[in-house]
Amino acid sequence: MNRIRHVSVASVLCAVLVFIAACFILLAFSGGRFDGAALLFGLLLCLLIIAEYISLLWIAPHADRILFILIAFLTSLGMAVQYRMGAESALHQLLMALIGGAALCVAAAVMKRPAILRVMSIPFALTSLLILVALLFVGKESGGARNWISVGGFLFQPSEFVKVALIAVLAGAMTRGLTVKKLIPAILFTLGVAALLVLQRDLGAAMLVAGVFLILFYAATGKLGATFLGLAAGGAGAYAGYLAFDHVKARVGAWLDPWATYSTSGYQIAQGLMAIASGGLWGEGLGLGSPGLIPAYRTDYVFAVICEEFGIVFGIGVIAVYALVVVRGVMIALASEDRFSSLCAFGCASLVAVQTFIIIGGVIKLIPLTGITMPFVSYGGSSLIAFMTVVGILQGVAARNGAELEKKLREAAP
Amino acid sequence: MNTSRNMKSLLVAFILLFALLASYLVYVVDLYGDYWFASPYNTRVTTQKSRVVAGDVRDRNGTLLASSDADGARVYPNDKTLCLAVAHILGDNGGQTLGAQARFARYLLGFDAQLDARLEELLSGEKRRGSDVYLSIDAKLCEYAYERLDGGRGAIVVMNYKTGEILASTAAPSFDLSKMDRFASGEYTPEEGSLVNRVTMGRYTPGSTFKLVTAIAALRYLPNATERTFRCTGCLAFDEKTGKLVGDASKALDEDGGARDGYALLRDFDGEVHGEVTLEEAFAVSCNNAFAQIALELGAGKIKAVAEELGLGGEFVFNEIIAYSGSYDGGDTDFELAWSGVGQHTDIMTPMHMCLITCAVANGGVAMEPKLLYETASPGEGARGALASEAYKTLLKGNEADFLKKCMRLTVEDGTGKKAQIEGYTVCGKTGTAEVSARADVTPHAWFTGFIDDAEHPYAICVVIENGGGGGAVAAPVAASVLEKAIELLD
Repeated sequence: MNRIRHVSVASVLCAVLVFIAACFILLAFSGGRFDGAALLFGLLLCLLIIAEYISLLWIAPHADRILFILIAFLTSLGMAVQYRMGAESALHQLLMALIGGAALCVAAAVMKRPAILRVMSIPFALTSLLILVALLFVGKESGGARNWISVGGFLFQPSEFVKVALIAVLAGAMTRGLTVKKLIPAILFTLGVAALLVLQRDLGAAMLVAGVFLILFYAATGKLGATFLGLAAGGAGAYAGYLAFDHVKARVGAWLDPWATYSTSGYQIAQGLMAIASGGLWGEGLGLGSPGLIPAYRTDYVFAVICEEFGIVFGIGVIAVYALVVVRGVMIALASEDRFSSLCAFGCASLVAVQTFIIIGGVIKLIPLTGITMPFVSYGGSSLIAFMTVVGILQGVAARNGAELEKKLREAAP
Repeated sequence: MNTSRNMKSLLVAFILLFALLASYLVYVVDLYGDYWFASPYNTRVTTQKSRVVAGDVRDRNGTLLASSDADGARVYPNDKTLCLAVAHILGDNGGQTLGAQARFARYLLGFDAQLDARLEELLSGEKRRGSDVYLSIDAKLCEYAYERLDGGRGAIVVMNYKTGEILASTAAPSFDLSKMDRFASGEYTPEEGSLVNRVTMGRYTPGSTFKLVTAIAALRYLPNATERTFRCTGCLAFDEKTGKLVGDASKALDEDGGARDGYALLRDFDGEVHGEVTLEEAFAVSCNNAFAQIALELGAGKIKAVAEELGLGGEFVFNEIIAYSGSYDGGDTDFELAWSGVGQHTDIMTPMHMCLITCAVANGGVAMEPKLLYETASPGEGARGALASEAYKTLLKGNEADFLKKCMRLTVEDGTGKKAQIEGYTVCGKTGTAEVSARADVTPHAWFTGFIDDAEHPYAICVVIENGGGGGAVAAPVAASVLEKAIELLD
């Protein structure tokens, strides 16, 4: 009787599977001829999600079911959109999801013993810096940012993994002590990473790293003054970047009036806005829009594609799903009694929150656009695997929370 | 160090950020969605043209303005003058000029169709037909107004100030709608400047019609503005170098009444001297001297503040038309400030903006949202009325509107706008003669903005005739005849 019973979510999982089926049946019949590969793809995706569900619960019996469902939905949505934009790249993405699923399970298993990750945080920090420095010399340029690396024919974007390492490093540092002296290495590390990212013109990632640091700092210390000081310093840095780099000026100009700069820097934003407006409330229907017109439709601009074909109402639903992911993540952090695990989980939730806000806010012209991916949905193996790892960390912490609780119950029992 | 409390407050912040995303998305699409959709850059509209036969465009009486032939190509009526008169408001089919055909592409190309119609199209493979669009304009009135421009350049707009409906809108020179598909390739070269819709996008010096704005500023910021008087000596003098007002104008005048070296003058039209005048009288006789004094007394800041409240320097976001707003800057010197108060200096107005302010005066201070869509009719579902009229903005307080109405009535009864009188109706208005060049041989632009004060015929009008001459002599009679035609046609 001293076991925790988890709410059964199998029925909700079925709803996600029905969503997948609906999308891929539609895709199979759209375009005038029957496409059997779409059905097969949908089937594989369903199997992958079921397999992931079973193996996660086997590794971490107390994993957060609701979080799993939310992520499964986002990943499936991403797959449907990717398949609609091109079957070949979708297949590649499915393979990455498979690796991501494995990463999720590994991370969950590791996080059951948080000491492992804590010890690893220093090698992680050094490796991250090393890779980022190396990128300056051997990095490949794509989309204006010099942040790709080619390993055995596969292109990787190491900055995606650096973000995850950063969380572990910061959580580790903030567990050891909170005096300024003890935090200096962590601060220097964050500044170094951010500076290197700026040098690679990966402004979105730099913003993200700085944001996650400040959020974790405030969560750990509660020092509002110092946090705002950091925020002001970040703002000053951003302004200096605006003055120093022409491409930043162009970005801001495009944000203020994408139509005036339509033929140059405003093109992408304007195309995205037209796509969103064309979809209207309920969307043009999966496969019926023309999202191929938007640059970066698979990666940064996938939200515009979703709005065009699924509609703005659905788009708001997607935003709500991200919000729920963040809520679950923070709840896991709150439930953890181990400070390191708690900070790690909170960092993971913050990463999802900030990255989602930056990219969706950029696409809908709320803030200047910086090229980063939309977690779980955008095309790109590095991003997907990195975020699956993030979810894995959250699930590992959740599993440990459950185990601890169960232990307490057993001790309390007569 | 209360980590869990910190985390909880950060969670609230995260949720607020997500709520901001969602609400901004709704807000921005609601506000600008139709603009973005109708953008000429939106190639989805072009693609849709190959899949859907575009619906007809008709005026409020059902007169056909544009339709599609059997091959889906756009055809226009044979009446050449009619086509030229409505070319700007209708706009070309390709969205190169932003008229109704681009603005309402959502309906014309059937983007408003229900899901079942779309599915049917998908399954049958047949070309679907878009909805027909009825505009609020009266084609005959547009044609008449266009003819009244008499081959010259200019713009005329007629609106219903109670509903905001645009009843006529025409601009000259005009272009040939049927040849616009050959414009991009260079095969058709329209007359220079003819693609600009001068009603909504003509940035003109407003001249004395701007005194409406200065008068509103006076009402708001000058103590006893309606009771006190101003002394018009016919001439104000300024130091040419510093731009400072010179107290004694006679110092600046030579024997022939011209300016001595080192001085610049601000005179009244035709060298008139009005003597002691009230604000109302100064308005009716369009006294530059008095309004320059008002501007100097108010200062640029207050006029600018009022101008901004009236929309100058802002951005219009109307649902159904795209229009530029005017702009005002009071200048740096007394000289520039004085001229800016009488609608010169760098003052800019579009006829649509002036008409909107006039509508607000006529309608107790409330400017209605300009409406162009009368109704739509989709093949399956029949006619659907357009959205109801709604207020755009309350530009003036009720007493301000009443006072200005009195001023404008006096202008037409016994001031510069006498030629705008219509027998049996009370016309209120303001004339303007806008100097557009320092050279004496360039004829000024003639302006008239006004309305019929009658609940049965709530029509407002704004007329600009480029290089036409005096507003009272040239624009006022044109306005009267177009308003008369409007009464005749719309009854």
